[in-house]
Amino acid sequence: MATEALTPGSGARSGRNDAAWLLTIWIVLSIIGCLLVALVWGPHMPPGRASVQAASQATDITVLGTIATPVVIGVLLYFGWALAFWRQQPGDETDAAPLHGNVKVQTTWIAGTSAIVLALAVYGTVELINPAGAGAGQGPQPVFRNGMPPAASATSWAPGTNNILQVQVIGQQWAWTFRYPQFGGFETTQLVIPVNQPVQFNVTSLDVIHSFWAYTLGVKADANPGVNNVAYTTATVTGDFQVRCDELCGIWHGSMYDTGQVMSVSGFLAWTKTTAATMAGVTKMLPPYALTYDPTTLNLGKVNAALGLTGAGGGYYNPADPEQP
Amino acid sequence: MSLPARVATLVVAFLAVVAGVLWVVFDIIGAQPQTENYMPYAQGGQVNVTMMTAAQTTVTNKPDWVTYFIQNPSTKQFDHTTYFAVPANTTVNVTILGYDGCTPLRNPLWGKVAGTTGNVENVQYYNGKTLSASQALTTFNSWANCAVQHTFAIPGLGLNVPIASPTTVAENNNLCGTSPCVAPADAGSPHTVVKFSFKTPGTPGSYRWQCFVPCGLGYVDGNGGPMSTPGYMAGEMEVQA
Amino acid sequence: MAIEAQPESAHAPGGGEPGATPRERGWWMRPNVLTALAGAVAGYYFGHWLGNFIASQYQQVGTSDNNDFAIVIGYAFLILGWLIGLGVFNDLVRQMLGKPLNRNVSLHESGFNGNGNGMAKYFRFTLDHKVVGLQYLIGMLIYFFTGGLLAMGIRTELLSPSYHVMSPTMYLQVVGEHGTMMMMMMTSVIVGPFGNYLVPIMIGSKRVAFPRLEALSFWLTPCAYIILLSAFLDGGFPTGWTGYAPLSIQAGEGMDAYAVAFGLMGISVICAGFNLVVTIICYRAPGMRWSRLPAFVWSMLTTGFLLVLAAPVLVGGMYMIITDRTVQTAFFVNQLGGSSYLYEDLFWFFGHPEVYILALPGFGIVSEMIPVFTRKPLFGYKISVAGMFGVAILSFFVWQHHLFDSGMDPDMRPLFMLTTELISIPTGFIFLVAMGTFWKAKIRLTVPMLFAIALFINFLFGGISGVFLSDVPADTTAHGSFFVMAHFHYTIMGGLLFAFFGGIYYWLPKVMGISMNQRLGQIHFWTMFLAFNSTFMPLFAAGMLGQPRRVFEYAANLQTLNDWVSVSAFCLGGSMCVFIFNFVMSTVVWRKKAPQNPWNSRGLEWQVPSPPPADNFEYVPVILSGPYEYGDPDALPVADLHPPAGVIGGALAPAGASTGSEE
Repeated sequence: MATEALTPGSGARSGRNDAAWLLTIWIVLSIIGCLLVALVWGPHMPPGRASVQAASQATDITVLGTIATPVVIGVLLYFGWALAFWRQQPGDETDAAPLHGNVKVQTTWIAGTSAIVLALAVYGTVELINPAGAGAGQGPQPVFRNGMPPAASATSWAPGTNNILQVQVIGQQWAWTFRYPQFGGFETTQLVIPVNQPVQFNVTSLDVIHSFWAYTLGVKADANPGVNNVAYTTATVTGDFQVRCDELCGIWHGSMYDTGQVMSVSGFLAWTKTTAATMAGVTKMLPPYALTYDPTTLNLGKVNAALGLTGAGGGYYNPADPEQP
Repeated sequence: MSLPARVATLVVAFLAVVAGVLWVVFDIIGAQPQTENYMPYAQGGQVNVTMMTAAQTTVTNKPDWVTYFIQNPSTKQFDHTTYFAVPANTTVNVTILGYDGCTPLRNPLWGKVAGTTGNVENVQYYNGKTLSASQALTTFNSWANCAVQHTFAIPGLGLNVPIASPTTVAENNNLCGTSPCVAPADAGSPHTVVKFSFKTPGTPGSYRWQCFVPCGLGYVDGNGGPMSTPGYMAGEMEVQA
Repeated sequence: MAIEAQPESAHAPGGGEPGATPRERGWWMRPNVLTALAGAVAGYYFGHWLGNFIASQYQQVGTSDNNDFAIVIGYAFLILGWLIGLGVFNDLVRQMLGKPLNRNVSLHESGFNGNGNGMAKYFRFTLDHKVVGLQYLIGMLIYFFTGGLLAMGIRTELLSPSYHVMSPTMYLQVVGEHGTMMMMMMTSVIVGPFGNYLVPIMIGSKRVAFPRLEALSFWLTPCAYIILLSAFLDGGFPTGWTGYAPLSIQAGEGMDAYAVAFGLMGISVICAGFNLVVTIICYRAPGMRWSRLPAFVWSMLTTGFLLVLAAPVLVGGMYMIITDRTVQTAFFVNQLGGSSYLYEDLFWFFGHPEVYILALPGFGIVSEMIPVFTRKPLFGYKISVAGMFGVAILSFFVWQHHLFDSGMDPDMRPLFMLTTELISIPTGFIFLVAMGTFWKAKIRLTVPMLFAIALFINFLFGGISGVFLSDVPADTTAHGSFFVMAHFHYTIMGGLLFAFFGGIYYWLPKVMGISMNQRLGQIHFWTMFLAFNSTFMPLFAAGMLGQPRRVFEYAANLQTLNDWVSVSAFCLGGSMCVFIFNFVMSTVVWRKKAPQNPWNSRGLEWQVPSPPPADNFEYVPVILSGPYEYGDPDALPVADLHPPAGVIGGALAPAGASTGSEE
């Protein structure tokens, strides 16, 4: 930062020009540090580059890290320098030369930090718009959908068409399930997506708040009860990825994890066919596909009604309560 | 105060704090349900585990909570716990005596048997008089029928077994009233006998298991109370090398 | 009251007729912490019985074996019983009945009903701000070490990714208790002890504006502490310190303890903040212009404003949680017209100012110490004040950055990204001030100075990581992970608590007249600084590699990292033991007498004897110059402690506030 431009105070005890030394060392160390962060560390930045969104986050983290490096080096260098050279000499009980302020330094500092901060905000916004929301959950009406095709058809999907693949992520205490509306609406405990195809995750919850975190895909979206939360991703590498719950959801939050898989498009299509067949028996028992589910107002069968069971809601709130009081 | 008095006060206070901390650590924080150790009872790569579900827990101060019991392999008593230890790479043959009535599943997906040997479970129904023949079942519809009371699920292993329930209103209104349901008075209580097998993984560790029926009545979404308390509807399977 | 009548004590708050004879009571009739405990126990059992009587027939209570209504009513009567047992209402009732008060000594010398000297006043509802400050100091240390022990439990559990020493519920209880203890009780960690004790002395006042509110604010904290810990006996709460609904509505009886204790603590900090703000504005000595106010007092003023403006939102949120849990109001239940976002917004609208409530006092303390130990004036005094105000104001406009992934309106993201990043500008002012003050200084590397420098190094990492979290794309990975956890430990523990410990080493000679052992202080500092960084620096990596917060199982490849962190955390615990040993031995056994002004400071608080006399100042001082005029041979002394009577009378005539009576 700009502190090193401080003009020497009147109380300089030696002929050493601290400002010039500090500025030089700072610039040299910063250049080395920035190059190391950007070029050596940058390609290995988390969360990796397995999807367009993850890659944009890795780039973003690299840029922020590169900008942060001179700041960290500057402050540490300055305090280190102060402790090395500006210590009280033994027996010296006098005060140092007073310095109440320095308009030039203060103005430079304020202008410099403001410029960095505003530039970061602009850069962050650009990085948010470009990769379609950067993998973050955008609520029911996503705004940032650069390059993402619309959800044109709810019942069919083919690769490369102007129709995005939809995967519903359902959080419940304490497991994730995944529903594929465009392949007959089957639901499964496995998450599989095709490579190089835009995917729209519709994240919702059946009970409390969870958070769907597909780490290597760079996707994180809270699963809220009664709310659809959309996040986009385009995976670019095939292989396994971790899915974790990222919002404290009760006793088994810590073990609410899964392994997902990115497959080739043909492999994915074959998988949907087999899974739809395997799950056919249970698919017809599922409620019709919807963006949110309200399990407290289920249409239950005769037997359950005769037993006085009014819904799978735990009976805390009376199901006869009006929906909009 | 004089110096000795201050030091004495200090020592007493220090000992009191240490005693308090030890009490909290061992009596509250370290408290866990007991673990039923099936390790010595495994033979030929197989081990038999017996459990029970009950509609109430009269043995604790939460009498209205539903609960699992696990049979102690040496005393054959049903203990109020959900922790058990089994060897790695072993087929576990589970028998669950289901003494609870039916409740709808929140997510009907959990009505499908998954992860067991052959992806089936074998069910016998006892209606208070006779025990039916064993049926191999794969899917249960808890919304249309009174079919499921709880599930036994180990998500880490992809295991999900719906526990079939007594099927009629009369049977559900005539459930056993104590727990565990072994008193002579409970001999005629309607229940089911569910049997299935699964293979434990090669990696030792704790594998959590839970129920996917929202059976914590009186709690939001039915997942509080017994569903969130180890020893009732939540437990751990300790896989040991 | 005539100024010339000094040095008479400022009279007691709410004192009766000047001529009335106050009543003296036997020691067995004097309320103290033991009668308060008795009142609390009796109140709880009465309230619990009443709640059961009212609510045991509710269907929900019958099926869940869980009567939240009885527990909440029990806690309400527990608080009432605690305050009655403490004698908080005695004076009010006696005044209402027109009877003389139970007290015959002045505000500054006495406990409530007690004689002025000895330890007893520390265990009573005492109105002297110096007693309250010391009560707060001991209280905060106890709360902090309780939370720290819980952290040791968390790190023990995380030694292994798959084997567990605690049951999963107990792990969540310990995490929740640790988080709530640290965030809720530590809100007052500097405001309570140092704010209450030092602010009146630093502004040249004999008293605070509202001694009853101040004493009440302290005495609610042990009550909140007991209620919070009582959750362990009821199965704890599974939500962490954030208490997100609907999980908090679903949770068992321990959740009531969380909501009541947090709400109670909210009321406590409102009282504390209100008293501080009014004291600082109205009770400054003549000549204590705004431009001469010590930086620490400025930080207390901004913190006080934040407390008064932010905490009511928390109290409201907790109240809604309680009504949702007891009478099923469904504020936070989607299906019934509520919203889980409502709670998130309410909580973070309080929660984000809260983290600056935890940062500003630390800035204030180090800004106070740095000029003393560099022997230079504070560089850019106005910038420092502007920085604190900038942080305080902006902190109300950033809360939605906690909800970037929650599905809130995506339009708002660039805006909250901008406001969050803007807050680093005023925070940068604090660094500018420190670095400018260090320029060609004569640094005296005392123990408090070590802590002050460490604050800047720790806060640097805390602040820089905050920029990553404010940026939506980077936050998508970092949110809810150990990265966030490391970030706020760096700002709060690395900032606030380093300042707190520095403050103890710095001001204990003033507060108790006792010096702490400097050699042990240095050992404490170095072990704490190294172990702290060794604990939390790797957690940035753990978070970025995908470890979420509050989990008891994590990926196997992160075990080495976690084990390193756990061992470091145990070392950090060991470093705290060094502090406890030093503190206890120094204050109880060694009791080495401190000189009046060991640091050769210009601060007004150092111009009075140690410990300060009952009325702080014999005469109301007249402030002559700013507190940081080091190295200026022409600077006037900071204050005239024995001004001629006429001078003060003239100076006070227009304002007349600094010795005004309670009414």
